[in-house]
Amino acid sequence: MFRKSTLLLFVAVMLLAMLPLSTVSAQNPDCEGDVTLTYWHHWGGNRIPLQEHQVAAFEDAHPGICVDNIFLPWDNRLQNLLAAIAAGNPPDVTMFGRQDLPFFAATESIIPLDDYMAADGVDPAIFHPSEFAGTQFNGQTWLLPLPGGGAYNIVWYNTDHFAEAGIESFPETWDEMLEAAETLRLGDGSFLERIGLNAQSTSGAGAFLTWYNANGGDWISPDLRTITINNEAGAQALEFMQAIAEINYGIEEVNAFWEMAGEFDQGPLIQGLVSMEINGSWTLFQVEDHAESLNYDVAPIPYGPNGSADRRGNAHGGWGYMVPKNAAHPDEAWKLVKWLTTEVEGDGACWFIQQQQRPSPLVECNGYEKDGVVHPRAEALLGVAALDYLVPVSPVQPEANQIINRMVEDVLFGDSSIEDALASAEAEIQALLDSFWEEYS
Amino acid sequence: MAQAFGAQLSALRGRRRTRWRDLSPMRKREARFGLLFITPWIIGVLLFALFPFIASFVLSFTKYNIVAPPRWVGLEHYVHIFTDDPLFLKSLRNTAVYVGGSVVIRIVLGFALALLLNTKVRFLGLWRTLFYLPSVVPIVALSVIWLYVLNARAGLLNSLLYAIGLPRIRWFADPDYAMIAFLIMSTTWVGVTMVIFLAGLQGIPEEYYDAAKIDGANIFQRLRRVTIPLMTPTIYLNVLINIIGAFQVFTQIFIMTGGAPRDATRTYVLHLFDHAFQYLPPQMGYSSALAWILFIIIFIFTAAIVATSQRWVFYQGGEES
Repeated sequence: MFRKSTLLLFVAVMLLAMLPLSTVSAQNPDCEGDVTLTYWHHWGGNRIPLQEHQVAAFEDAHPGICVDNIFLPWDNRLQNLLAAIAAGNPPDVTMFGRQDLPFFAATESIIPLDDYMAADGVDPAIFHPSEFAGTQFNGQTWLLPLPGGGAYNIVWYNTDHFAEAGIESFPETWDEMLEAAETLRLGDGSFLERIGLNAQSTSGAGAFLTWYNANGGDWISPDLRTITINNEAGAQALEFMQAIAEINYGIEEVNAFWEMAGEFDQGPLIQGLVSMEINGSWTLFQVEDHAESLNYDVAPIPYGPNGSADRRGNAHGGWGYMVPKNAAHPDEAWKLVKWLTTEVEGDGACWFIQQQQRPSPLVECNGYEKDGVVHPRAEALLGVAALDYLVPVSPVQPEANQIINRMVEDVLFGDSSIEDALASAEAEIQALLDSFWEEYS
Repeated sequence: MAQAFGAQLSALRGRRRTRWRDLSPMRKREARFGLLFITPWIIGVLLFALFPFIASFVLSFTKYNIVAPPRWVGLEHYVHIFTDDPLFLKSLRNTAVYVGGSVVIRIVLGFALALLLNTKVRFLGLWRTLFYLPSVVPIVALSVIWLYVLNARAGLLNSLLYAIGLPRIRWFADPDYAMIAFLIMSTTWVGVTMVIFLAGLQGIPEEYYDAAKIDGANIFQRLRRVTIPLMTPTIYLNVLINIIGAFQVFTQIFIMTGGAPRDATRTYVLHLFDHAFQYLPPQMGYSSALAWILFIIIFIFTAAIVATSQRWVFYQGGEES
């Protein structure tokens, strides 16, 4: 008797232990339909309930189609997707980084959407042109964009810190930025208490390409075949990053200090660790959710000696939704893609982006208008985003990013001259590109 | 455990093979049932170990991006690894440092703890549990805990260093200290080594110690002349297990540093993983080639230890391995 009850207890504990494994998947128990779509996304944190609402609205608007709504971590997205495609069991719809498009399109691992768009009258002109451009490869449309690919590099700054330091206006140029970063930094000469600016911490294209872009540099040719970073603009970008690191007592101290920063409520701006943080438009809802009393403002990234006032942040990659090859229900999957990216009236694309208060790729949707009220920061944020410049994604972006990061570290740790580091990185990335086009052109 | 392993091996060596036709009907039926019961395990090994093992060897001579069929490239990957991969040697060097450091730490510390916990101290069960407990905590949770412990600013370890007047160390920001931080972290799993040592220690007959005491041996002489020689089979087993495991170190480094700073914590398996799952196009063939080189390195190390074990591993009763 004792043994039997012990066994039952053991089985119950095992089943309870397995419960968390299934919480990543949310399927509406009230939905009845002949088709159940598998949908993968990477919207974590407070976007999960928004996703669930949006998907429920889709099911209401499309009787007969149910959706298994699955949240997956961003870090393993390629691993999961490639394994699913290789196994012949991919999701019907998945959120997809635009930076990953060239490889998947070149190998036709995803379905072109042009025929579906034509049949349903989805006009590319409903998207901002720069957003739609990121969905193209070899003249075909492989995904539809959402959210906007721009506004990844906005300077969020603490106005109290600026007032205390007596800085009246936000820096426009790199020289002014260096001066402000030094004035705002707090420390005793070797131990940081506050950082004015951490030049290595940006989003979108990554730190070096962000500064290179703000200095007028174009890192890759429009045909995505030639790299150009070994030039004056590249050298100046590295010199600027080096100067900021020196202001902050060196790269090791910056990295050690930055270990205290995290995400969401642990963000460096929210914790007061930094006076100027370069981050994306999503910082808005993070600040509003976690730091209501923070006094802050936004500004475009200052431009370098080779740059210009009308080219600051970068539009680089972004997200979209696509249908993998061998999806079980491609026709119904297209309906979900359309809902997630083009729906302006119901609780679809526009509603989802407005709840987060971030830039919309749809012309007719103001992402900063929520429940009929336009956010007071909307004009400033959209003004900054208007100075974004397209930094194209290379077909070998993940490995290229690693090479660029290594190049920056070589310089900041003093292991290489700026000239040697640039030349070496450019050659290495060019070899990768040559190899890619040899294989896939 | 190791004693028993050695004894079984010797027994097997001396056993004469029995042919199927010589078996009685009952033994045949037993053998059939035996085979039936281990069939799931055999299928599992064939499907999930042997097949991937062979497939990865074949793939190492191909270019394979997962979504398209593999394309034969011969020895291209191996040539590239040895002539044109700047991270191959660096990751191998980092791994060697981790293997050397963590194996010594875990063997020495595990043995010392086992000796302590083999005495008649109070709350023996509690101590054994406490030292073993970290070994069963999931590695992701452990990584997060250690990130807090080793945080350069707010970390427990640096607070202790600061409290005793020593400078704070930028564990994960300084390339000179980052791998040392992982070696400190490797003490987390010392409980596993300790438990194996404990099992070995409890297998040493008390009569040997009594005889040594009568001969006037002090505690250190008993340790050197009785305990350590009789523990060599267990040391041998622990060294093998720890070396093989340390060569494959990955999860905590992937979570905590991703190879940074300056690739100072980029280990071999992390390098291999990046080529397979982080880069686009995925380089499964290249990764397979890297994996096979690692397999050969581990094989050589293991073979060297096994080959030299005859000189330093002793089994009770005077029988050597």
